[in-house]
Amino acid sequence: MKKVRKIIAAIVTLAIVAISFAACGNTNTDSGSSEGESKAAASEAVNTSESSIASDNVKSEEPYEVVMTYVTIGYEPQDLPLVEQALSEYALEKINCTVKFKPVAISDLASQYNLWASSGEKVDLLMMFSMDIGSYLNEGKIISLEEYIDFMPAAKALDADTYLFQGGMYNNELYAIPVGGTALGHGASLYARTDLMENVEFEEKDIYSYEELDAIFAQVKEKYPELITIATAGVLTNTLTSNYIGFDDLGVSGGWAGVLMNPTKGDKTVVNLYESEEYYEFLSWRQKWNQAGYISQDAATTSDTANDWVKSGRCAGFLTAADTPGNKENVEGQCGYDMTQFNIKGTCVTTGSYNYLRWCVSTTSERPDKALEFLDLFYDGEEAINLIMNGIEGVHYVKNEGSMIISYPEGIDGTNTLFSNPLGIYGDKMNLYMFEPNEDSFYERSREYTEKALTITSSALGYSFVSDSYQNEIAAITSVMNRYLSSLEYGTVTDLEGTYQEFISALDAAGMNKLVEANQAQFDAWMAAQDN
Amino acid sequence: MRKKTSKRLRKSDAGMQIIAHSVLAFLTFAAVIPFILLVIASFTDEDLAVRYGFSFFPEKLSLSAYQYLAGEWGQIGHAYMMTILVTIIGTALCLVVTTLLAYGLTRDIIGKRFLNFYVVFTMLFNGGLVSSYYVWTRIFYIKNTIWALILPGMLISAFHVILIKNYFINSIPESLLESAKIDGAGEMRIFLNIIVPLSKPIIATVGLMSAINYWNNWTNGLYYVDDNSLYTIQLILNQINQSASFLASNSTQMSNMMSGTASIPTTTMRMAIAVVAILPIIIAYPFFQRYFVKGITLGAVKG
Amino acid sequence: MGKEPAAGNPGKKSVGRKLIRSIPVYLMILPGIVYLFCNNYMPMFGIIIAFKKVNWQKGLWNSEWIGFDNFKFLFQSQDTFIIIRNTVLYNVVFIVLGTVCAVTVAILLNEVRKKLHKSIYQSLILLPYLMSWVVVSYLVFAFLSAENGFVNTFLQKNGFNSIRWYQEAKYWPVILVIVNLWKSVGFSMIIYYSTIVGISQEYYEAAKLDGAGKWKQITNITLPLLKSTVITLFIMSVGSIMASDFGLFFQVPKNQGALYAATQTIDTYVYNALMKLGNTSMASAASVLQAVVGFALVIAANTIVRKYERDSALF
Repeated sequence: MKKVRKIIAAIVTLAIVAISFAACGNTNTDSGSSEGESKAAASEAVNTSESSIASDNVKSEEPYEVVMTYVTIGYEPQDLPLVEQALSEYALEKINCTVKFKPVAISDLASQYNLWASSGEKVDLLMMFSMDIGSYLNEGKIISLEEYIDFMPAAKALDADTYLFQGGMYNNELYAIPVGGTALGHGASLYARTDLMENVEFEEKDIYSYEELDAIFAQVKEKYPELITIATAGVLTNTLTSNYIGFDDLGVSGGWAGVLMNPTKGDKTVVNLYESEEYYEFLSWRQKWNQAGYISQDAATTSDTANDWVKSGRCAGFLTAADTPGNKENVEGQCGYDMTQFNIKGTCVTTGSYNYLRWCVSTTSERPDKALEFLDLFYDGEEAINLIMNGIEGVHYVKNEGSMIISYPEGIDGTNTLFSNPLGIYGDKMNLYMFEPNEDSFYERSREYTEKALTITSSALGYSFVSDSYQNEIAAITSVMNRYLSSLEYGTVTDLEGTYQEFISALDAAGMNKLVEANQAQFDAWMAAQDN
Repeated sequence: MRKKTSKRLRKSDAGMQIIAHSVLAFLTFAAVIPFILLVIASFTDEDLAVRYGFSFFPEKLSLSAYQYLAGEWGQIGHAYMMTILVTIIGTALCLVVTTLLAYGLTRDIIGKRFLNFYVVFTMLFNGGLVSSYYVWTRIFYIKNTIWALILPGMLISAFHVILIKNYFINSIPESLLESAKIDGAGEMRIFLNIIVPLSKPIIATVGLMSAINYWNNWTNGLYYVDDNSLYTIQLILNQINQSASFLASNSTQMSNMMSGTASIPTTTMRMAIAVVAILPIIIAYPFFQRYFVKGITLGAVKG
Repeated sequence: MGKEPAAGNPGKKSVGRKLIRSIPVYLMILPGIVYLFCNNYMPMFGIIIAFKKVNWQKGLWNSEWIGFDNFKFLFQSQDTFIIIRNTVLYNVVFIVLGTVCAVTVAILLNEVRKKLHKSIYQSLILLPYLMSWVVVSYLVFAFLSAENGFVNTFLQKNGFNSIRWYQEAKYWPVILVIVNLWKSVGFSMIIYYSTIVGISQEYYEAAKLDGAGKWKQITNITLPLLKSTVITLFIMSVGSIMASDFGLFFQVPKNQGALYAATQTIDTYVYNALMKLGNTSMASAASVLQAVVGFALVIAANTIVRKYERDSALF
């Protein structure tokens, strides 16, 4: 009996502990209500100072400190504090704000955001890299930006030209501000080493078909048997067909809730991508290429990047990357070889064009209006965006009059510079200076590319699937994808037909077709609303 | 007396020696070979490593991985110092508090069984990261202090408490303590003058385990610190590795995002960081070893 | 210690006396108890996250209760049986094999005569434990890589076909068990070793005088005296039978889907499934499930052990 009493005593103590934290919980809601108060202050600001949005702000207010996530690739550049200070000074002058960076490694974004939201830690601007707005909204981590749009005049102007805000819409409300890429649309290309291509015969084409690529690969393999032909590496969590097939994923990356196969031709039927003929065709080619030795057996297991493979001479190329201007130079810079570009998918503007890189405002922000004003600085002119991307002029880079191309100062290069920011995730990148060997023509080409892309828009631009109530299905689908994608799409699978059947029935069991139906219903409703 | 030990016994002794040495030598070999590979990999030329994988006899060696580290020494050197500091303080505190707790649990006090359950229960249920984070940052405000690296989840482990407690129970005779009590010693005196000196092996064991835990821990730094003067070496290594593999598996999106010639640390650099991160523990380990002393005679107590 | 009943006066006075005697002890354990309270008990309210549809804007306490909904994703998958089976079976093998190996190595190490040799063996065998799983995964890859791995190169040189290690699940139970043993034996044997070192030499001297050889000495002295430690550690491992070492099962097989049948455990499944969603409640549900099962097993194991070996029980 003593034993039982002791155990009961333990449980009672625990219960007391748990209940006593109801008090802490109340503190949480208290801070919730004080947030409400400052939000009220913010909306007052919206109502009363429409005219004073410009930089002649009243200086009698205390400057507000905007806390912004600074995304790193694992370590921070040494001169980050200098840049933070310079940016603060600039912001103080323009909008009476200072900035504080919150460094986060790109692989930790999700877990950090979770902790901050749950403990009420103050942060204003969150970088959402390829994250699902629906689930963040569900868990109360981000807020709607509808009432604050007027605080972002520069971004609004960009939106008028390029549909920028469409990429941040969810359930017909604006939740995120996408990064303004230099060129819109997301066509894709394969980039191969020019020095090797000189010995290969091929025709110049706008878009290369699987057969044409096959012929090219065969030649490359024959001439250079010791090289892996196609550079592709890493565990696949999402399908590669987004680079080969021109579908619109309706806001769900990978098309897990169904896609429009021909979005630019007035297609209005949502179908399951993975059950389509086009998808199976892709898989068959990949298996063929794997068996012919064009794709490495280590593709899924290597810890190197595909760029590393090309750079080290292990691979002939055929790296997949966007076909936008400047990308070729990027790839060349990363691999150290000149590249020839083979386009495999044409450009088209969909909601997904902006999906990957977006900025949201956290629920723990005290002044969302100020936060967005600050974010707008990156869209407005050249100062802010170049500060955060390239550092301080004269110290980290040298610029010439009349050119957008910059170079390193004396004695400094890519390996010993004290500030470098490899992640281009801010503002309007048309205002961004670029290092050599890029050229000024890049900007002109980008403009042309964008103009062309804007004529090819999807019928679903602005629509994205609301996935709130389907969290279990998405979790199940993620598991199925993790299990099958790499072996199917790298072509390492031995029995393609059999494994493929397993794959699509697993997807069905996970609920994909259910999502497709739901998506069609939502899409039809959205279209009906558009017509009114 | 010794000379009368029979031949049979000596043979059995010799047999044991052969078995012991062969098994241990094999295990040592199995343990060291991969480590040697690791070290060689960190000195291998990067391009070669990507083309042909790691090898014990690389054709080309290169110091570039270590040069890169030397270049980042500002951050990395500092992180090193931080990790050493945290490990020393953390382990010392851990030993003090854990041994006191373990000793207390062996004494015949009121609520003994309850307290034992209290300790064991912590091993079984966990509130989770979210609530731990909340407690440590919103109630105790340790964020961005050195305590953030020492306190959360690391200072006392019920596992260690139980190990030490069992050692006390099984290896230290009660009669020793009784005679001390008769001599008028209080609990603390008994603890310091009898228990601790006789428990060196287990204290060294737990000390070692705790030190390794502190050295290898990177999650505390990840969640509770964003001031880079408090970063530890494992945190940096881990972040670089994870970011690199994250970027690798999102490569198409990456190419749209990345600009300039900035590159992700290569595999050989990551190997170099790993070597640098392990070295101090290997050097410090012998220090613990001398406490694993054999045969403490407890002959002082008869009957 | 603790086997004899408390000496002293029977009757009510003894409770008061006991309390007074207990006070200095309470003071000694106070820091420990307080720390465990702050670190472990205060955050326990987090368990309710598993049962709520958490919305941080509303706060934890105002979020909706949804009962067991968050647990559903664990059972909706076709893989549920596999992940549970994998987790439990691997743990059983690790516990049994791990204990046998650790005890053996500890005993053998103890037999080595020269202190220098002992030192060297012990330090080097511990080496793998100090490496992180990520580094271990690179090293394993160096051996098992399809194109450049040592094993395949060796096979090819001797006329065999190379094996695509990372695409065939059947090899992995063996690979994972070996890798895990390799990494952990140096560490887990330390506990047993320190216990053995604490065994009084007198026992062995007496046995030798009675003519007992090494084997008899080990089986009659060392093993029985280790029994208590083995049992205690066993009970504690049973508590984590539904949990797995994430690094081992995620990093070493390089998260290859083709190997899931043999390498996927509850922890890797939860991590993979929630990668896109970042859903805290679902992750929490998984931990709660693991903890509840572990808890039940520990209570059961402890109760059984209390009957036969009272001192080895945890409480």
